[in-house]
Amino acid sequence: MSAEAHDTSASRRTKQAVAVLLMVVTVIGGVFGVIAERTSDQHVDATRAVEVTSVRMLDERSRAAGRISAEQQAENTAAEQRANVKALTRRDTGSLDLQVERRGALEAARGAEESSKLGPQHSVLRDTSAVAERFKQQERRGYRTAFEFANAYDKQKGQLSEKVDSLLAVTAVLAIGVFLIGLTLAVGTPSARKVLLGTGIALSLVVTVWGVIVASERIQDPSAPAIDAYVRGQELRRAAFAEISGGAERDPHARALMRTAIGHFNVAIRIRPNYGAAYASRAIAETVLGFTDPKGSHGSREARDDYQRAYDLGYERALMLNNLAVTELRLGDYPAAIKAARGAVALRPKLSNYIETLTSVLRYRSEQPTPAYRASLARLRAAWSRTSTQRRTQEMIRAIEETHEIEEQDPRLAAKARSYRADLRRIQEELAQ
Amino acid sequence: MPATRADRGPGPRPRLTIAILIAVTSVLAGFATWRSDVADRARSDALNAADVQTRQRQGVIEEIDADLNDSRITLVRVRVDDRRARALGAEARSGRLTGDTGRRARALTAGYTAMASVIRERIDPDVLAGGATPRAFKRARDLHIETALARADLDPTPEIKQAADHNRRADDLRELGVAALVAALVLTCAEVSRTGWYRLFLAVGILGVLVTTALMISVGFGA
Repeated sequence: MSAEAHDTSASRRTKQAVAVLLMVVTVIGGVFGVIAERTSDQHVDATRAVEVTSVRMLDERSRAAGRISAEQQAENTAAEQRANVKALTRRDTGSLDLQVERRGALEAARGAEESSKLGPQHSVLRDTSAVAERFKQQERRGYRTAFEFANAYDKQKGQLSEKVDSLLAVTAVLAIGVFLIGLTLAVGTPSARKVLLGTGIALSLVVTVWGVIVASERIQDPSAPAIDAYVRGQELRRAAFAEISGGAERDPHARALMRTAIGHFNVAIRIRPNYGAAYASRAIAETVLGFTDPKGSHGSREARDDYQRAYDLGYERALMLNNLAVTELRLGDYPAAIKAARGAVALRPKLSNYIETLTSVLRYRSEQPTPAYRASLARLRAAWSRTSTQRRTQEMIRAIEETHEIEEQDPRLAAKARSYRADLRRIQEELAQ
Repeated sequence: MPATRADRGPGPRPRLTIAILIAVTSVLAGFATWRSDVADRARSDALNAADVQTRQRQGVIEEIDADLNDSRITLVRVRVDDRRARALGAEARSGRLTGDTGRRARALTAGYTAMASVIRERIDPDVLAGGATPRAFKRARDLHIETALARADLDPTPEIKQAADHNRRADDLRELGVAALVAALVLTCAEVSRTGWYRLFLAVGILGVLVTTALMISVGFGA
């Protein structure tokens, strides 16, 4: 065989190989296209599910509001009639008319009590008792569940949409690979051909790997058991919190409720390890348990890890960072607390709550007020000056209360807490003028 | 022998350089597409967070409204009881009533007064602080909403803004990816050209690559 014939044969083989490569890459692109199309169908289903659950959510919300309102009115009537009976009894001078009136009021009170689930001693709207809070939460269970489903379907919808977009991007880049490989057929210089072929193959390989990763991404349907466990945990957590806020800080019952809530969150997380809301709620429960520990208040490492996980999962990032900052402060890790607080302020630059957290951690970090603390304090003052008086007052009271709590809990921070409190009081006075 | 028209195309070395440029530009286009996809995912996450917040915000506002409506209903009852107590008290004090009737009126006055006072405590204190007028309700509503939103961080505006930023970056990167491909196409014309025009294609292609790269850097590749 002559050299010329050999060259022609080699060139034919190269062309055949290029043609096969082109075919393979095109088929891969086609497969990704089909997967994208199927994912797009799933996306349509998820969109419909979001709409359906959103309507169910609205329905459940108004139903819960009606039930709570009916309970409130029954409680009001019962309390009202009981007060009437008491007043009439005090004035009872044996008059038959008044006795009839009193009996009528008594019957009215009993009728209302029969309609009320909690009785006249409660007011579901004004009470902070665990009983009232649990009642409200139970009445809202349908709504909370629908809300969680709507969020979960919405997330699924977003993930499906991302998957479709990524598969389309993969297909587009594969087309670039096809272009480069195909171009070798039109280029005469062997070295140039090698560059184009090599780049085309490398690009196609990389993109195929990217496509396989995207295509194998599993997007889960919402899990009913996980949502149920989460909603139950939330009910107990809020009930326990209501009890603790009502003054039962170290009460074993409230703490036991909080621990049961954590158990429910554990179940939710076991079923759905990427359930951001469950991590956040468990973190709050752990924080409260650490705070109300009968042996002495302390920060919670478990809470810190859970806030971090919730943040990583994209759940209410600014809030998670703010809570993380407070937890790190209680654990004594000031650089981490400042980093988290700065992150929260960066995400929500106008929210005075978060600026206050940052200012406090900056103050607790060093013995003497630093320029960074001074700057943050000035920013806090500016934010408060823009806030409505009532809310500002509430926030200032809470911030000042926190300095007292820190002073009591950690003697090492007592002097700094006093100094920070003095600064807060000065701002309070200045803004009151 | 004079050079033919076909021979006036780029020589082997320029062809290799152009091939490298085509490869680099194509990879750049692929990279821009990938980063645009990453920015798209970040946009989707931000929108999802905004949706959750909007849903939650709506729930909180409706809860506040429902509670305030209950306060309104309770206020009506307080006013009815108060009026009755006042009317009966005035009658009792008028001296027009006989012994038993007068005592009954005084007892009923005490009953209605007790009823009014016991359920007044069940009205939202922020409403009562404002004098229980329609303006007080509005003020209380605004305060409750402001407090709830600040405490639970339910303002979706930053997320929506973030999503818009990611969207803009994704769009820009996608467009620049297409621009890089156009540059690669022009360079391809230079590569396969067999005339002196290849110089023009090459110049336009290089300019396209430079401009596209500069713009990509200015847009940034971060998510």
